[in-house]
Amino acid sequence: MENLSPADLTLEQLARQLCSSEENPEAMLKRVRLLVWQLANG
Amino acid sequence: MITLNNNTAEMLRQRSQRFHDAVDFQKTDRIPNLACVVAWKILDAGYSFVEAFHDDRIMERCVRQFVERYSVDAISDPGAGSAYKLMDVFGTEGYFRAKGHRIDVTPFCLAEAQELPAYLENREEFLLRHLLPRKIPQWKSKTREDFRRALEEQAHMENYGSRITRVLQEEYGMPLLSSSQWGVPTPLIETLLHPVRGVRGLSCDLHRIPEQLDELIAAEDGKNLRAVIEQLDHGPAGHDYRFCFDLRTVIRTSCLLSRKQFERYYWRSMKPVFDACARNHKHILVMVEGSGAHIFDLFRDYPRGVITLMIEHDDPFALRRQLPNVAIAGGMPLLLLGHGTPRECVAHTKRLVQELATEGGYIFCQSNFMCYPNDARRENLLAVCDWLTNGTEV
Repeated sequence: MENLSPADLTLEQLARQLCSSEENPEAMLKRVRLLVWQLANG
Repeated sequence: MITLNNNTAEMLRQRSQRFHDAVDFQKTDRIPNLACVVAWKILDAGYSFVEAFHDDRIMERCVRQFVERYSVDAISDPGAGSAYKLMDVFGTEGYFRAKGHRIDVTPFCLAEAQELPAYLENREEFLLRHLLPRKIPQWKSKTREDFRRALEEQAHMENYGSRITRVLQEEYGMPLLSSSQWGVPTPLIETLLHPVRGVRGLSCDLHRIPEQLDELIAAEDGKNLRAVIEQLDHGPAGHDYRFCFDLRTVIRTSCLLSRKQFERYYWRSMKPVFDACARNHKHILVMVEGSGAHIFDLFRDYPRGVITLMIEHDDPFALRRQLPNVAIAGGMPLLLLGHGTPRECVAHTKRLVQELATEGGYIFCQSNFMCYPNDARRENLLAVCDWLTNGTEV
């Protein structure tokens, strides 16, 4: 599995990398934004 | 879609009404009983913290056992906020670390003072690029698969939240603490305390860069809290009777800020929100962690039926004398629940009800969140709940 080096990616780039062809890119960006907050607060 | 049977729907409405009437200083059939319970329900159900935090089915079982065993009107925490499994994916325990019957807290200071403008410029981007690499070990080695698994856990968390909401409201007729419609308005100074700067970092900022804090807070809160106020001014009127309160907020900074600092950094931002609640007849629960005695009089001018102060270390009887206009939630010390007798616990409960609820305006709950084994004895909590519900003497 390729390394994402997330510290080098912007939020949108990360969401694009995680988005499969069946998923809505905007919904994925929203989920990644939420994930970032959950990890920061968790 | 809610599919309540008539009895459960009526119970949900009655319980919610009981809270709203208490806040409005209206006569209620009995005092609303809010269980301030977090992790204690796990131990009471016979599980360890680690077991429940890592398995939704066990957490649901703990919640069910609690609400079936104790006749309470609502619980503060249905166990939906745990991010343990999410943190597991990234190989770290995060803010809380559970070990057997112990929970340790790791304080974080995740951004330096000079980084605050960059953080506020684009919060999520800053968190991703700067804050998470400091918090999560070996961040750079995380793979697409790690993130995919984290998103799966995120979906599980959301499913649990929806499921436990349905269980409480539809099966047990139990309102949740507050509606998500209005969110939890939080001024920047509270976010700076946790998780951005931590106690030590914010303490330094208050002395080193007070004017910069003013600027940042004015810019941020002016924008973010204005949105909440507009929602309050233009949203639906009345109360949603699936909840105990319309909205809630948490004050942690009263422990750190002097009275003068609190007025400058907190009150200036949040007073317009409280004013909007008063204007729109909304009930807001203000959860004050630690002590807030030096700031309570700021609430003195609100009419009855707006503010409920949920207190921890402060004296509820002194607060009732000081502020006859606010509803009070709290007053049952965990020391008594954990080490007293049923008779002593019921006697204290009676005193709370007799002295604080003469004209309404009182919600029974514990003076801290019940988390640890000695925070309560089952027989004490049962006796108190029985007296509040049925008037049963011990």
